Amino acid sequence: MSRIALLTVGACVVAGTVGCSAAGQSSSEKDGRTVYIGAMFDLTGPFAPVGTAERQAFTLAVAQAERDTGIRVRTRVEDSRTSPDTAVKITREFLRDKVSAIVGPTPTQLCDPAHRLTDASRTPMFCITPFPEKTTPSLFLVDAPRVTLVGDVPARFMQKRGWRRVACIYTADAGGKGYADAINQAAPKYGLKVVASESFQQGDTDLTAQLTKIRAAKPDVVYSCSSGANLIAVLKGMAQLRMAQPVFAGHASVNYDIAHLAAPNLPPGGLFSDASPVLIPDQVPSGMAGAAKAKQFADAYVKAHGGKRPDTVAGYVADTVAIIAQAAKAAGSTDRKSLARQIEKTCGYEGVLGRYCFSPANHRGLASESNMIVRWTPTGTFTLTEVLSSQNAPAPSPSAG
Amino acid sequence: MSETAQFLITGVVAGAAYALLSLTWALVRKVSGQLFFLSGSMVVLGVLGTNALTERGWPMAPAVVVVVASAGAVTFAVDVLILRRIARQTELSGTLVMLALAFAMDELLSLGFGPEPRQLAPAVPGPPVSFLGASLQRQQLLIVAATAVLITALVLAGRSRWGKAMRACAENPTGAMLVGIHPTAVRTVGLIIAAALGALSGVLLGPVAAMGASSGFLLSLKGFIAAALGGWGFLGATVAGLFLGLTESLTAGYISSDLKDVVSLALLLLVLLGKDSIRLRRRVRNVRVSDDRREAPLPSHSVTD
Repeated sequence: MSRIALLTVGACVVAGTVGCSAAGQSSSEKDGRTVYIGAMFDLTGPFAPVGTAERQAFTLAVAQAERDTGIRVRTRVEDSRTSPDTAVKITREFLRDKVSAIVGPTPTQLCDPAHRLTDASRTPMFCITPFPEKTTPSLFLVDAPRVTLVGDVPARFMQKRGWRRVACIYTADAGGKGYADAINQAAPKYGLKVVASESFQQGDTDLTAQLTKIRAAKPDVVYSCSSGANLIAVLKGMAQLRMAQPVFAGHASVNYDIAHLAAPNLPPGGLFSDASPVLIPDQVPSGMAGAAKAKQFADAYVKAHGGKRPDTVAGYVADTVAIIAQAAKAAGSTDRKSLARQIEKTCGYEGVLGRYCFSPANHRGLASESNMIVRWTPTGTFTLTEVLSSQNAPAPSPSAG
Repeated sequence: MSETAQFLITGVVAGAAYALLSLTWALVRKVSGQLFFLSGSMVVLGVLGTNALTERGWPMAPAVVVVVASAGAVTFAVDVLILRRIARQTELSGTLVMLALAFAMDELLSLGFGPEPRQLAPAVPGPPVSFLGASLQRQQLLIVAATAVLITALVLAGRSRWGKAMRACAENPTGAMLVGIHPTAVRTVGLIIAAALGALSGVLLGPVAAMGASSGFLLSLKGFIAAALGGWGFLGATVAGLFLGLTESLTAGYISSDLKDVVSLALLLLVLLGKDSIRLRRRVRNVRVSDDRREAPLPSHSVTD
């Protein structure tokens, strides 16, 4: 009797172990046709406007990726609440749940601790920020390095306009300091001089003290090194101090909600920023990579979200989901390591933001072929004003340091 | 010279905003002994609510009245459903509940009005005006004027029978009840006024700053610092608010903008440490005096000295 009992217990243990290992292997890894994406966006907290747009883009991109690839995309979306602790907790849950890849988080301060966890398990993670200095075997980024995006691009435009003296007003956080460092590094290469650099806290409502110092430095252009609605405080302060200088808006302030708020406060010298094809799909020069897909994506987004227009971060999310699904299809497997290897082989894929080319040595996929600069209009829209081609980059001026 | 004038004007305007918010903290502290972390949420409700109504075609004045009344109604509901139940618990419990309510309120505002920041049209439109070589928005003049009016009204109200009843309820609820004052009602009225004041501050600040659901916390924190620096009195909080605004502006102007908030927090720390040190000295002195009395009773004049 006791032997039978022992055998029964033994059989149960074996069955349990087999069952557990089968359960541990996710359904995505089993059938090879289902990719399981864990996504985290800041649906609450200071980055909520960005996170909400990202989630809307994610839903749209998943449906599109399923249609394009025939791969089934299973998703789990969590709110990272603009909190590094929450991002780490969610990443742990995703890894426990054996997701094939992770999309998000967005702010640099969330990406940094989260991707350290994914490195250990080699789960591909696409942070929606250009700011991390280095990528890792599991960390993928969809945009150019920080110094290029928020340093070289504005500096080249400023040089082209003949603006030599630049003032930077930045938020006293990792993002704002990233902008300030980038323009400080890029300025000498283009013969520019950063004549004033002032900081403020996220959400400060009155920046006139900082702007008074900036005005005294007599800059040719003011660079708003901040994200979201902080730009509005800069514009209002400049209007109050009757500063007529043009303003270059930080990359993360560029969307239609902010454009609507900025419209009554535009400086006489104009408000400029870089732009992606998704932001101005009807104005993208023909032949530019991503033009057709951007138009298609923007139309679908507008239709799905009651006339609301997408911005660049929505484009990042859309392209990220598409790249993961394409890689899963090409690899014929949704195992995390195979997926990471396949993403590294993705080169020439044209998404809504342009052409992508990853490699084992290059985890920043978006090839910076050309950059569009837009001028913000009093009606809350954007007008294409310049296309900076990286092939014809202006030579540094003789005064470059 | 014009730079100094600009820093001073900026400081006074920022200080007026801090003073306005510090009044909500001081008022709630007076009537309930609690910390009004909902202050920032009420400011944001003022901005987002008024924006939502005016975008639907409402004229500004009725929109403001409805939003200010709504802030009062929300606080009344919160008081009846939650705050009254914790009134007799420790100060720490009350503080934690208020903090939780503030976070919950911010989430509700985000759900109700969306996460995008909003701004209001200025009540006094037009180009900036010059004053002593400095320039300021017309709306900022309105903020300073409105703050002065509201502070005067609150200080006068504080000296009235109602103000005395309010103080009595906070200091000795049982004693207040014995002389016919209803502490719960006085407390609720105080909370509603504080919430309405917060929403009105939002209406005043909305044209000079774009605000989203989570924008109120920093502003509210400055109001708290001013109220604490001013000793939780209306006049004290006002003076401390102006002092805080001026200190921040002059620090940003003449030292470094990186130190602006560090200085205001350091000020709070110094004052709190100073107060604690004074309290400690008083206690030590009292203990010594009572010990002396026990050991060798002294004539009364030497004790009072």
